[in-house]
Amino acid sequence: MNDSGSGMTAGTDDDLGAKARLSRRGRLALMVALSCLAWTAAFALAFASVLSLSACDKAGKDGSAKAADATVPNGPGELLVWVMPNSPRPEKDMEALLEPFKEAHPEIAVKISVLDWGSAWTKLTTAAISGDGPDVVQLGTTWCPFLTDLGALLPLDDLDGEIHVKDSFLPSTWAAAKPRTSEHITSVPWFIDVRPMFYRTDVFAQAKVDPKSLGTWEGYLAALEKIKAAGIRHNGETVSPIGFPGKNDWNVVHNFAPWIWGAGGDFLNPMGDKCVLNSPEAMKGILFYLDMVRKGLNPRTNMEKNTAQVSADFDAGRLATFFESTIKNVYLERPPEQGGSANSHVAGNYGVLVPPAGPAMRSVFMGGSHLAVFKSSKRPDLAKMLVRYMTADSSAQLSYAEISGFLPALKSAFASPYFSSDAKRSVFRDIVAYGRCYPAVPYWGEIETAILMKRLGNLFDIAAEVNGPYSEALVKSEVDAAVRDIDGQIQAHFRNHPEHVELLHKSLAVAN
Amino acid sequence: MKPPITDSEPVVHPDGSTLAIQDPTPDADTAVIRIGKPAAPGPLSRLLRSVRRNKVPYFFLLPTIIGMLLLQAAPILQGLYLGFLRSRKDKLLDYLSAPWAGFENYAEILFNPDSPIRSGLWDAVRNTALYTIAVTIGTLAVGTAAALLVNREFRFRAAARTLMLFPWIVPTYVVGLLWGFLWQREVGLVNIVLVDWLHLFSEKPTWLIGPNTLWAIIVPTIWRQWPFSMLMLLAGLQGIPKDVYEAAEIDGANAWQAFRRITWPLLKPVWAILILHGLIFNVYSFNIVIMMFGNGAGFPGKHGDLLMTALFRNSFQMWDFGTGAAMSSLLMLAMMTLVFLWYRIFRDQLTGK
Repeated sequence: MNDSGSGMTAGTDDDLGAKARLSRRGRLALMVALSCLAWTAAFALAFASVLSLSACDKAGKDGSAKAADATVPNGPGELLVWVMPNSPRPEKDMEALLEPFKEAHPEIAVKISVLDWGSAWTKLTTAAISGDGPDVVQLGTTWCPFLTDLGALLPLDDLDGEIHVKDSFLPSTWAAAKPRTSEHITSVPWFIDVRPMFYRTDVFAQAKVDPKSLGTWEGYLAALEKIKAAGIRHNGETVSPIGFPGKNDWNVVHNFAPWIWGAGGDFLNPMGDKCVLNSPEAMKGILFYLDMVRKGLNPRTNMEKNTAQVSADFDAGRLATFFESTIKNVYLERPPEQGGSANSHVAGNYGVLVPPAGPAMRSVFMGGSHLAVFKSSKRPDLAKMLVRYMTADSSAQLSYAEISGFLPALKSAFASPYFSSDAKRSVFRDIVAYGRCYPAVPYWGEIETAILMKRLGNLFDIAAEVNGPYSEALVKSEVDAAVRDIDGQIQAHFRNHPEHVELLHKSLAVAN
Repeated sequence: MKPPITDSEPVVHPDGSTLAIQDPTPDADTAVIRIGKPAAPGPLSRLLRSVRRNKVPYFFLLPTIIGMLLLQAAPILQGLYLGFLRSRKDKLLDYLSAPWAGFENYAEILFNPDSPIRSGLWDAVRNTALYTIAVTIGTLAVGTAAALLVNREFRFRAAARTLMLFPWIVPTYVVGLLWGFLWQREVGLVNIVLVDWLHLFSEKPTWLIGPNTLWAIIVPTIWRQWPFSMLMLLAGLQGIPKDVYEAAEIDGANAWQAFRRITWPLLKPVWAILILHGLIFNVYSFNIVIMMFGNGAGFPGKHGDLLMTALFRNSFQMWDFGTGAAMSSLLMLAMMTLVFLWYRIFRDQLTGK
C-alpha cells in the first residue's frame, strides 16, 4: 500500500532517476489497467444485482400477472410446458403425446422443459414468486394447495365448466384440484399413481398360498407366515415374505398411509386442523405394519435400504410380495434393450393383487400429478386448451398411461381394452376405486416432508431395534411427538392465516 | 463512551499539522477535550487519515470493497435481519417486509421445549461436534502420516502422490452415494472386509441406521479429506531446510527426535490452518449425510443428523425461514467464537513469534 502510495508522488521527486521513474510509471500503468478491469467487473455486478433486485421487487409488489411484462414474452402462440421425468424418455414421450394436439392446432408451438423431482419444487416456487414461469406446469398433488395459496395458479373454473372435474375424474383426485382453502379449481388431474401388491406366482405355488386368500390383513399375514415357514430359496438366497424400506427413503409416509387408513385411522381430523395420528385406530395400523418387521417377515436389513434397492431385491427374486407403483409393471414387461427386465425369471413369474382390506376399510395410497396454468402465462387461453387436451382427451390420457405406466385420471379412459384385455391392468383398474389422497390443505407439505418423514421414519428404527429394545410405548411416544409437532405447525399456520379456519369449515360443510 | 486512545500516536488536525499527546493521562476524556478537535485517533479517524494519505491504493481497493459489500455484507445483514422476522412460506413474496417477530424465533429455538424445530436439535449439535472433532483429528493424522511417507525418496513417488489425491477429487455427494453402498449390512464391502475376511465382529454390524450412522459419515469424510491435509503438510515439509535435519543428525538426534524437535514445531502453522479449515468445513458438512441416507429424502436419524441437515429441514422443508435464519445466526456466533479461540491458541504460530 505504502509502496504504491509513494509511487504516485514519484513524479515530483527530483532525486529519482529517469529509469526508476519509468519502472514506477510502468507499475502504475499496470495497476490502472487492472483496476479498470476490476471496476468494470464491479459495476457489471452492481448493475446486474440492482436490475434483478428491482425485477424481484416488481414481481413481489405488483402481483405475478404484471411482473410477467418484465420478462421476455413468449412468441406468438408459444407455450412453455414444465413436466417431470414421468417416463423413460421424458421429452420424446411428451412430444409423441402432443403430436395430435399440434396437428389440430398448428398455430401453437409447444416447448417442453423436463425438470427433475429434486429441484422442481425450488424452480416452481421461484417461478411463482418471480412471475417468470412456464404456461402449463405439472404439479405433484401435494403441491397444489400451497401454490394455490400463494396465488400462483390461474383459476380454471371456466375450464371446469367444460370438462366437469367432478364427473369426469376419479373422486380421490378432486381434493387437490380444488384445495380446501381455495374457492376455485386451480388444477386438473393428469395421471395417478397407485401401489398394487406385486407377488411371485412361483413362490406362492411352492408355499401353497392361494392369492385369493390375501383379501384381508389377516389373510395376508397368514400367507406371509406360511411363506416364511416354507423357507423357500431362490438362487441360493432365502426369499423374504415381504420387502419394504426403512427411513432412508422418499416413500416413508406413503408406505405407512394405507395401513393407517385401513385400520380406520387418519393423519388429520375431517376439519383438517388437528392431527389424529395417535388415535387407537391409527396406532393399530402403524403397529400392524411395524409387526411385519418385528416378526421377521420383512428382514431387518431392509430397514437401511431405499425403495430402489428393495425393488431391485424383488427383481433379483429375493421377495415374495411387495408394494410398488404401477410403473413397476411397465419395467417388468419392457424388453431389456429398452431398459426393462422382460426376460428375467421374476418377470415371467409375477402377478398383481388389489392390496388387502384392513379391519375398517380397503384403502390404497394414491399420488399423482395435476396440470395447472401459471397466472403469469401470457396465453392463458391456449394454455387451458392444452390442459384440456392432456387431461380430458381420453386417447391422450390412455397413450400417456401406456408410455409412463401411471394410470389415467380420466374415468372414461379405463373403459379401453388396454385395461380389460390384460389381467394385471384390470387389477390396476380395480385398485383406483380404493385410492386415497392426503388432505388438500396448504400446510400438508411441511407436515409430510419435515415432520412425518422424520417421526414415522424413526418408527422403522424403533422396530429394527437399532437404538435399544422395542416397546409399543416407544412407538406411541414417537407418534405422540409427531402429533405435537403437527398440531404446533398447524397452529403456526393459522396464526398467519386466520382466514383459513373459516375456509376449512366451509369446505367441510360442502363435503358433508 | 471513551474514544480509544491507544498510544501516544500523533493526532492529525484537518490542517495537516500533528499534535502528539504528551504523557497521556489516565483520564482520556480530558485529553480529548483539551485537544478540542473531533479528530481523536479512533479506529475510524485513523482509517480516514490513512485514506487521505494513500488515496490511490484505496482507490484501487474500492472495487474489492464494493464487491465484498455487495456479495458478502449485504446477504449476511439480510440473513441476520431475517432472523427477526416471521418469515414463513406464505410470506415468501414479502421477503424482508415479512412481519416483525422480535426475538420470537430465538426464543423458539432456545426456550420452547415443544417446538418441532427444537426437537432433535441437541442431537444434531452433539453429532456435529463429535463429527467435526473426529474428522479433523482423523484427517490430520492420516494426512501427516501420508505426507511423511511421500516426502521420502522412492521410486514412483510422483505417481504415488498423484494417486493419493484421488479421493479428494471425488465430489462429496458422490462420496455419499458410494459409501451408501459400501456400508450396506449384507452386501456392502465394509462388512465383507470386517466380518467375512477379518472376522473382527461375530455379527455383521448395521451402519446406515442406528448409532453407527455417525461412523458411517465420519469415515468417508476422513477418506475424502485426508489428501488435502497431505498436500498442505507436504508443502510445509518441503519448506523445512534439509540442513536443519543434517545438523540434527550430526548432533546425534534419532528419527523420532528429529520429528519431535524439528518437523512438529515447524509444521505447526500448517496444522493451525488445517485445523481451522477442518472446523469450518466440517461444521458446515451437508452433502454426505443428505446423499447417504435416502438421496435427500429420509431423516438421517438421531445419530446421523448434522446441524446443516437439521437447518435445511427446518428452513426449507418446514418453510420457516425466520427461525432458520435465527438458527444460522446463532451458528455464526458460535463459529466466530470458535475461530476466536482458535486464533488465541495458535496466535504465536501464525504471527511467527
